[in-house]
Amino acid sequence: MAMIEKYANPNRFLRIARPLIPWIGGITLLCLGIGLYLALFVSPADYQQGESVRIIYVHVPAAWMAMFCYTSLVISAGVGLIWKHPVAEIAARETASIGAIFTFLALLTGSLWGKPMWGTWWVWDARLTSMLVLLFLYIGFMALNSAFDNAQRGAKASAILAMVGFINIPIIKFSVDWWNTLHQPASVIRMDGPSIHSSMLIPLLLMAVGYSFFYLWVLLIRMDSAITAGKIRTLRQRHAQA
Amino acid sequence: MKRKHKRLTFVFIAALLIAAAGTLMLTAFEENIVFFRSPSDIAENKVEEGRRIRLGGLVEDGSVQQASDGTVTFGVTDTAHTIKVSYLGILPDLFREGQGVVTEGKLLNGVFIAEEVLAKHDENYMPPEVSEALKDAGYWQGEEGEEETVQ
Amino acid sequence: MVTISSFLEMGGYGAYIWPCYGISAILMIAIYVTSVRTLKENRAILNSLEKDTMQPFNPPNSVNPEQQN
Repeated sequence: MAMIEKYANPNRFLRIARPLIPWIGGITLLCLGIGLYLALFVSPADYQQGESVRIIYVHVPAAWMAMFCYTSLVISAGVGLIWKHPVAEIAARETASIGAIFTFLALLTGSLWGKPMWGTWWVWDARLTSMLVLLFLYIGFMALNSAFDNAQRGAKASAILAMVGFINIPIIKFSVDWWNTLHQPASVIRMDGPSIHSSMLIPLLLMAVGYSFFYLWVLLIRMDSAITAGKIRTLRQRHAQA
Repeated sequence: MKRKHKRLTFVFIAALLIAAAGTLMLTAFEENIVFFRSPSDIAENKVEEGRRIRLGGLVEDGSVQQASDGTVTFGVTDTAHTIKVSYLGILPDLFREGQGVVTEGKLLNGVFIAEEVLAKHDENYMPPEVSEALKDAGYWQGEEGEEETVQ
Repeated sequence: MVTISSFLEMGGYGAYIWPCYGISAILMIAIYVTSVRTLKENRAILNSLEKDTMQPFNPPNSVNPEQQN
């Protein structure tokens, strides 16, 4: 009976999620398609940075998603820890892989942007360093999550690490305001409105929406996969017992 | 029982490593948290000569001079104080008068000998036509907003 | 052809812009493709396992939990 209860939740989740996946995929491709077209062909060059400003359309969405994924990872891991919610634990684990890729992309595109504009691939300023710490947090979470024979213990230990590491998210966001950094302050999410012209802001936001739906798309596919893998394990165990 | 001990040891070592890495990272972070100092810091003698530091500010208008051996000299200002900087090397694309800059080097007899010059741009993005139009209309005065970030 | 090459040049920043777009695309496509492939593999394994469990050597009362809801 306990087994059935445990199964009930992931199955209900899959019944809701599976029909959504193709729609989410469609929105992702639509947003990224229009976004890329605007970013590469329509949006203007910057008055200071020239054409190199086009890196913003892949750099900023990746950086936003790096922070957004970590936030949703912490919420999922916390729900999994407190309520023993198996779907939330799976969501946290699968979010980590996607978030780590976004973080890596933010660092890499930032480096490729920093070289021509700032004159360096990398500096140890507060924004760049805290972003690198975020990548380590993702890797630490994934390593700790899979380090135990007992999956529940792994989920517990990694959830605690993720929650402790959440302090890094406000540090990333406000590092450019609190300390002297080479990285410039925020252009979009700021008190007095965006300091970026609408001809660049619109493609940037479209790309950001596309990246968000991409995350949701891949997340649901991976959660489906993880839940299926869990069923395989349970069936094999039963098979061995019988 | 043995497996359990093994796991406990593993967790203990992992916790120790994480703690050590965290402490190291925070110490490194603390030292670098202020990425650069302002000309006022240097003018007020907060920085000793001969020590490797970073100086940040705006490139003073009309101060950039190129010597025949390729050495570039320019003033870095935070509007309150200006420090003369001398640099031999390649300047980044965004190095311009009135733009933000971060230089790394040593102070020698009141002149900052830079070994590296990095450009620091502001958070404004717009097409050239718009910036021209804004300037013509007098709504926008170049890099003045930069003062807030370079203190 | 001139317009294509000048487009690729991106005002001299092509060497920085295109790797940004290229690596972003490669990594995002890669995680999507591997995720879909793993899902398909897992589903195939589960299907064959479920067929096995339906075999008569199982006690007649043991119903597959998946089919109960």
